[in-house]
Amino acid sequence: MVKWMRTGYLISVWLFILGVLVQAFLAGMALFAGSLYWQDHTSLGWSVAHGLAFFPLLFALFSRLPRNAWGMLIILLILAGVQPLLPGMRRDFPWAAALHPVNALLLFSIGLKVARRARDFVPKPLGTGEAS
Amino acid sequence: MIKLVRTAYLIIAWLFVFGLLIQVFLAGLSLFATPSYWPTHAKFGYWIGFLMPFLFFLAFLGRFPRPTIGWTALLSVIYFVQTLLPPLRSVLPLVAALHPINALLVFWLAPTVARRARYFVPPPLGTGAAI
Repeated sequence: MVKWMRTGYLISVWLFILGVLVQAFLAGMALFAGSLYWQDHTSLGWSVAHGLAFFPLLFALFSRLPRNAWGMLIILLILAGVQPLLPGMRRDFPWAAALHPVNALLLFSIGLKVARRARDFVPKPLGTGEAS
Repeated sequence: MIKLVRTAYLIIAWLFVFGLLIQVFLAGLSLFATPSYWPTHAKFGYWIGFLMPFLFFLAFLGRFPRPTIGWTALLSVIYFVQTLLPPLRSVLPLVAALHPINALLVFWLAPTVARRARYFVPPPLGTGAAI
């Protein structure tokens, strides 16, 4: 059971990273191909930040992860929760809204760290851990 | 001499990471404050790009191991590509749209290069043995 939860954790973190990449591409499309893509970027953004980010937390809760694996995950979840809220601050706090792409960089980098760490808890071939 | 060169490499590598954060913040200001920041974003992007050949040169001069030189070269190439993408918007908008994705890659690679450099620089800046 724990083995499956940990595998789910690993896969869900990688799906989240994939979501961040797709979001970055949609932002690029909106900037360089047509501004209509902002709508896709916005609607998918809520799904990635509040939908896809929820699954690593759900799997982690049942994965009996060591304490030191939680720190980065919690930071990732906080940043993911904040991310879709930032553009809404453009009128009152434009400098805070401007942190939206900076936060995207952090989500990607920290997401990769969490994913690499998650591999240690999953047996081969998906992970690098010992069979549990 | 090598110690100084390696320390300079480490400092410039982290300066580049810091520059990237400013660069992306400028893009955010252009999007959410005023579009007049776009030229600053473009100019600043070229300025921090000048650090790349310098970093590559220091990697050789500091006699870093081959993998470190390889990672520095890869970072330089990816960042060079980054500066070429936006002008493609009128001809190949799909390719130009890779600009933010490539930014994610650059921001993943740049701190990796800087962290690796710490192993070859003595304390207090690095974690390597005294040269």
